[in-house]
Amino acid sequence: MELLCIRQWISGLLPTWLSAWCIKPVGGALVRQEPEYILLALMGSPLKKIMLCSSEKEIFSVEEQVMVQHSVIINNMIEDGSYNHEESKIPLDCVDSKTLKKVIDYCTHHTHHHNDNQEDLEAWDAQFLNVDSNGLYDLLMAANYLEIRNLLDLIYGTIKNMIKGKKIDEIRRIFNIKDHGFTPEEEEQNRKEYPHFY
Amino acid sequence: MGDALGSDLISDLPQSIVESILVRLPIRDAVKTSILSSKWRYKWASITQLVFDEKCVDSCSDRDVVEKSVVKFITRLLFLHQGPIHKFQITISYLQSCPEIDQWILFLSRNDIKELVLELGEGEFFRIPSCLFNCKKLSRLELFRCELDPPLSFKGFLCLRSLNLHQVLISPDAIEGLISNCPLLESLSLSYFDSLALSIRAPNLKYLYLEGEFRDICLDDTPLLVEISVAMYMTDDIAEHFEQSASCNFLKFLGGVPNLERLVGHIYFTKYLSIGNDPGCLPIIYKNLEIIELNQVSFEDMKEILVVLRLITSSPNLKELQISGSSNIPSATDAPDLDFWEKECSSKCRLSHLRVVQLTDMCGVPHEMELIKFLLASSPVLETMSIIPCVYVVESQLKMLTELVKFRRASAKAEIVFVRE
Repeated sequence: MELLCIRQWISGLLPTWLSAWCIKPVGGALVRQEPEYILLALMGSPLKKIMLCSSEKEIFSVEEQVMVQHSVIINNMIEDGSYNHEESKIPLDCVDSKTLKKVIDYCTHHTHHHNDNQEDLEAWDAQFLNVDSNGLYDLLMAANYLEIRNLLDLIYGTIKNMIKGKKIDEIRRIFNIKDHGFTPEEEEQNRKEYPHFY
Repeated sequence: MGDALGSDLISDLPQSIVESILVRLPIRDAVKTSILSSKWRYKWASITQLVFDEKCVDSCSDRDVVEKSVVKFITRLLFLHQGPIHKFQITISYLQSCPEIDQWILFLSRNDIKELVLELGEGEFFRIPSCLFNCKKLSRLELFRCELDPPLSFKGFLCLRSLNLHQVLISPDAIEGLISNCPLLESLSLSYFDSLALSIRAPNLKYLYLEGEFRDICLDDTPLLVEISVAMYMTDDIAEHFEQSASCNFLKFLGGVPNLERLVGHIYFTKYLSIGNDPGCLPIIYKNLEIIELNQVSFEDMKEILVVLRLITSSPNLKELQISGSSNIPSATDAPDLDFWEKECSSKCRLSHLRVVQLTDMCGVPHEMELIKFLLASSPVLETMSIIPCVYVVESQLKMLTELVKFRRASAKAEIVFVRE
């Protein structure tokens, strides 16, 4: 099943002139060789993929190497053998499809681009985290559940910057705190005692 | 990032995540969250790492006012804090020794403190209260400008891995006792001690950093040492003590460290190692020693040169060598004993992994040139040799260059870089 997916994917990539090229001699006659196999032979062995299943029961196929490098939970599952490549998928009931796709995006980008220079990676990360607060919350919960250390650190850093050096009123706006929950007397007392924080 | 339709999700994050965020904030910003909303009132109070620096309170021109304000801030914070405190660090130059600090340490000793760093101001040394010695879980201790006096009944910090004492008043017996009673000690740093004679017994020690006036250092039981860095200062009575010493300092110091990977020496370290009887051919091979850096080596002292040579020839896997001369303008002395080089350096000696050599403050004295000649002839994979002549000897630079060019090179790839100002 896995190989079929890969073959279809590769066929879609090949330009027609290459498909026409793929001929090899077999028993004295020239036989057309399946182009996908040639490309695979050129590339090396097929990339092992694993299946992740979101809370909405949508299945995402992703390179095993990518997820194993980033997620401690998935790495442990594969190492202790509880994941069977042929049949099973990893159910992630607390992560919805939109968030799971983003998480996979992050891990894939960082695996394939880990040799890029620091500035480019940081710019990509900044763009990646340009989401609304709901999205940020979902990403944080997913990264926490899957134990993806560098994504967690990135999100912690972002939230930290929402607090550091900012006035209370501004933080309340950023966090959407509409009701601070203090009594009017408490709030007034705080403002009197720490005017420079507001 | 704030949107009108969104709800406040961040305030409902699990406490463990909130703490991970708050711990990344400067302490002042973390505590400030207590007035953000009623939900946030005590979220900061259970963070396990408290780091106080110059910026934790508003600055102002009056030093006394700032000092009082910082003391009040820390005391109040500890009073409101809940739960264990694993790391407590103060690095504040305007905070002098005061009674409140004793209370803070008492509080910490009751709250599972693991890492304690105290760097106070330049005034009177703070006398560490005895409750520190009850901190059973202490794994890292760093003290600057304190007085430390362990009680007689003190059995050691059983979890201590890292100890850094900088300008600390403590008796030599107490230091030796402290070191040998901390069985897990991996990293030891002692700086600015006066006339200390020290015998170090630390079977798990990996990193050793010493700086100060040491009369005598003996590494008695440190088989796992991987990195040593020593800066040794000299006073007149230490110099006199050296004259009279007969024991072999080299073996006392480097005789029991077979796993050494990196050795760095400054100021009088090479001189220190040269004191005492010549160990002859060393009984020990440093098979992991890859980096040697020896500074302020006097190339007019045969014994120091011998120390350098013995080290180099006992390190078959040496990769990087840095030597700096003692930048004394060479006096016109009697002819140096150049036969010594033929005797000590067999032509069979090969430094088969040496790739990088840097020689600084070279004056062009004969022994320096002989060392360069020896290194070039014995290093088949040498890639770079940088020579930086001493700034005072402009005339001899040409002479040095002329001699250099004649030396035979074992490595065809070797590039000699002669750096002139």
